[in-house]
Amino acid sequence: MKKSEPDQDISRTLADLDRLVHEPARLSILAVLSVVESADFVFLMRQTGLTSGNLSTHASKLESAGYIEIKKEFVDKIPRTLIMLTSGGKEAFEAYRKNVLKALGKIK
Amino acid sequence: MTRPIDLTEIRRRTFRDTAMDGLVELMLGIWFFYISGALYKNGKGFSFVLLPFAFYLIYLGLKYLKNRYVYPRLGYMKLPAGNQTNPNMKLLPYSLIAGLVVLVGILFITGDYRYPMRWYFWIPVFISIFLSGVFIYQALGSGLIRYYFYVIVNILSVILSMLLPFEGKLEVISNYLLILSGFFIIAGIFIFILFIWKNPIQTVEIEANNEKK
Repeated sequence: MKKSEPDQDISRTLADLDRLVHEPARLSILAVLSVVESADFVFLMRQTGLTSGNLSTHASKLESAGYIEIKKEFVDKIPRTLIMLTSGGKEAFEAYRKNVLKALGKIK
Repeated sequence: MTRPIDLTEIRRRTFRDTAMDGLVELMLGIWFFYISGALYKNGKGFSFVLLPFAFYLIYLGLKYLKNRYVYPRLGYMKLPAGNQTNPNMKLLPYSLIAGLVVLVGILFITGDYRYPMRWYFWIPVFISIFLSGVFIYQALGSGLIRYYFYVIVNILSVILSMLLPFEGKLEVISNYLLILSGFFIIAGIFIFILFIWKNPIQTVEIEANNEKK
């Protein structure tokens, strides 16, 4: 059976969703990073509710995709690992939001 | 398990985190105490010249406490330069304008506008309205109820300071700031101890991933 035009539109929009961003834990990390300039692991753990192991794994995937940047700095000789969204990450997150809203808008 | 994703709520939580430790109250209390001391006996109290140094020392102390006790518990984050965390940025200038309007209004109602030497008596009212605006701004941004309580304490302090006997022109302001400083120092210490007690230091296993770099 052939799909109607709006159904095809929804399918196309959903197919366009970035799978890397679509995963709830990674989406949560990107959402938190989108409202701050940078944050460390402890802050992200508290805000996302992820365990440190989980957060570390997802952060590595996002970093490999170029969506986030992980930097190390020293404050009073204490190391601090900072994570921030890259411009690619910001674009990916915004595009994901728009696509989801677009797809949901077509569902009656 | 991740939490539901709500950007407005994330912004609110982020903003609330900056006010959880009570250090701002403590810092405010020490500042007010110093300014009150400087205004005492018409400026014969603490040195005004040392005021910037005192502020800098308080700032260093605050930074140390944040690095030593707060960030290991709440984590560190930097807010974006253009503040997008607070829903009501317009409140601050409005509270300043409201304070000025009330000050001018009082001067006219009491007839004191004809006696510039008496204006000092109403200055705590102006400061109080501005501070109330700041606390309401904090309450709206963070969702913390205690800031509404500060508004009440602030209003009571200004009333009390005007009822207390004072000798010099600046002492009515000094009295007001002294009452507020006492309250904020006690509140700050109490909130900070509660914060340390309620929030254990977080352990993070991130080294395995970072060592590869």
